[in-house]
Amino acid sequence: MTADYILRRCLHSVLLLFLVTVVVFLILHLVPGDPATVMAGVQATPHEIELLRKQMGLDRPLLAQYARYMTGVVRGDLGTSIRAGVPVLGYVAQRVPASLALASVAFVLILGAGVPAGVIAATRKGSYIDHLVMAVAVLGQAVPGFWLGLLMIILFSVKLRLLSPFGFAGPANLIMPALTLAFLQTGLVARITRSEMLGVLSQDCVRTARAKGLREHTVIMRHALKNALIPLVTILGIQFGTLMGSAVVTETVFAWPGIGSLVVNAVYQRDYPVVQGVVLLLAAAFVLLNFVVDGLYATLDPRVVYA
Amino acid sequence: MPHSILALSTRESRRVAASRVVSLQYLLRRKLGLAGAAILVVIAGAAVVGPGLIPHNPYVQDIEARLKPPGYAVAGSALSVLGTDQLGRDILARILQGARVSIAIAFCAVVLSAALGTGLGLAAGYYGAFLDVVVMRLADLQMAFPFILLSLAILGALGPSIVNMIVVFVVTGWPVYARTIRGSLLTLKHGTLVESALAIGLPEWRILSTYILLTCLDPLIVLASFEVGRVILLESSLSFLGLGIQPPTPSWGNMVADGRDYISTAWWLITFPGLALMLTVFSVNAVGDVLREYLDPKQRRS
Repeated sequence: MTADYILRRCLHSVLLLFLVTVVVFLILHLVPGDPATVMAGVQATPHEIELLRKQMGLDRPLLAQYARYMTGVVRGDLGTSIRAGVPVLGYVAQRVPASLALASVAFVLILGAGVPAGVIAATRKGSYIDHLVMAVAVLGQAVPGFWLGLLMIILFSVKLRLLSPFGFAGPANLIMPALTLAFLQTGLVARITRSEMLGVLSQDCVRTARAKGLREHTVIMRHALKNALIPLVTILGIQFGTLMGSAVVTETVFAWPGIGSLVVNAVYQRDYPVVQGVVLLLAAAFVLLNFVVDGLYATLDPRVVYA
Repeated sequence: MPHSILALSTRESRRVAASRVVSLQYLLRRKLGLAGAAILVVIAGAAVVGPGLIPHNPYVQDIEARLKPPGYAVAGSALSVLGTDQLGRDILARILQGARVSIAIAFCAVVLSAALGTGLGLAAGYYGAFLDVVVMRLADLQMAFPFILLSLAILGALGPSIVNMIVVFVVTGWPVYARTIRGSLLTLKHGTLVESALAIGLPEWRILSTYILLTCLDPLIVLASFEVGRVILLESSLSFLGLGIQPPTPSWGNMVADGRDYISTAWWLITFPGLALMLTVFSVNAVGDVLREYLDPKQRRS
């Protein structure tokens, strides 16, 4: 990986981040008519609306508004929540731990189930286990997350009375949302792992390893899996967006106090600064993550030469 | 990340060699695809003629028949096979009506975004330079936003309506097509096909619209078939969150959302619309899988 490549990749990310801020800024201006009137609500007096318009700078030209917005963003000021009356950044930040906890548990489940399932399916290609893994994978891509979550509530909370359906009282509350989130992505990971494993297993390095007389277990784990996992890193980076998207819906179903349910409520309450803030932070996270993933990829796979 | 794929080309060529063997699994998947196609035909048929055959109107409320379980019938009135909802409306009738709405939206959105993406991808790949940079950076930008989140934000600002939804799906859905067609176009552009077409003096627009587009059509068809399933899921998620199709118009997503309030007493409100949704998306994807294998032998063994 050359310095030139890193520099160009950096510039690319910075440009992307800039475009992200433009889009996020423009979301507010999609609101038909006057955003201040809509945000202030039906009961607001003309004076209150005028105050809000001033406070948000909506009386100034668009370019000046964007300049003001950007100045704030660079300083870490993402505006003020209309409903809560507190700075958006802190408001969103206090919801991050819950989301992160949910996402990490789901991520562990996804990798912990998806990768072994993919390896088993690949090493026993054509067997019943293979077909089972593939069937679950196809199913996982067809199941609507909100429905799966509600079915779990019906089963575990309503019928069996094992788990409490909503909120953030203890670790037990994590089980259902994490399982829901994991189920949607595990199939994909299993599918990719299987496909990559099949590719690697037909390669010379594997044949050589077997010819050396290594145990099959060592061949699979040391030689094949290591190579097969490399493309998975890139795909997981790109899948971050999808994972966040399903998290938004899953958090809403289980009333999980993360940024997903925060943003949905902000949309309901027309609290646009909060909506803008969350969209901006997640998009920025995506850009940075993929920057890291690209670098990681070159480190993991020495054959990759960035032109 | 197209640059990272180039290095794996040796592995890719092995895959092509391996793909010649038509495996048991391929046959099995074709069976699955066949089943998927059959289910789709049934669902589409039911969506078109079903509401006429069912003795219930999806909009008519019946206070006395609220939250009745599946198989409910009173003397003198028609059977509610899947039960009734909180306003006494027949669930099956609403599922069929919802199928019309969902399928129509998905179809419109996919056709429009495929057209837009193909057009932009062709233009970007063929004319290159500045246009290419602009289109591809816009496509990158689209990737940076979680799809549902961006749709939520835009629909929250514009207000939910079917037209706005289709607009959002098109605006966020075109990049995949543009990337795909640009990718295949770049390899074609300097090949013999385009060269000979230029040599016999064909105008550029003819080359683009017939030679290049026809050659690139197969991956686009495969992509579009998977996008139908994805858009149906997305539409239902948005409707579930209350920002998609608005009541009283039934959609599978808002029916499930309605059922949430009765989750402890009436499981059928949630279960059946979701089942219809899953079955539809599953069938669409199964058909897509077969299409992919049929049109792209490289993928046959993955």
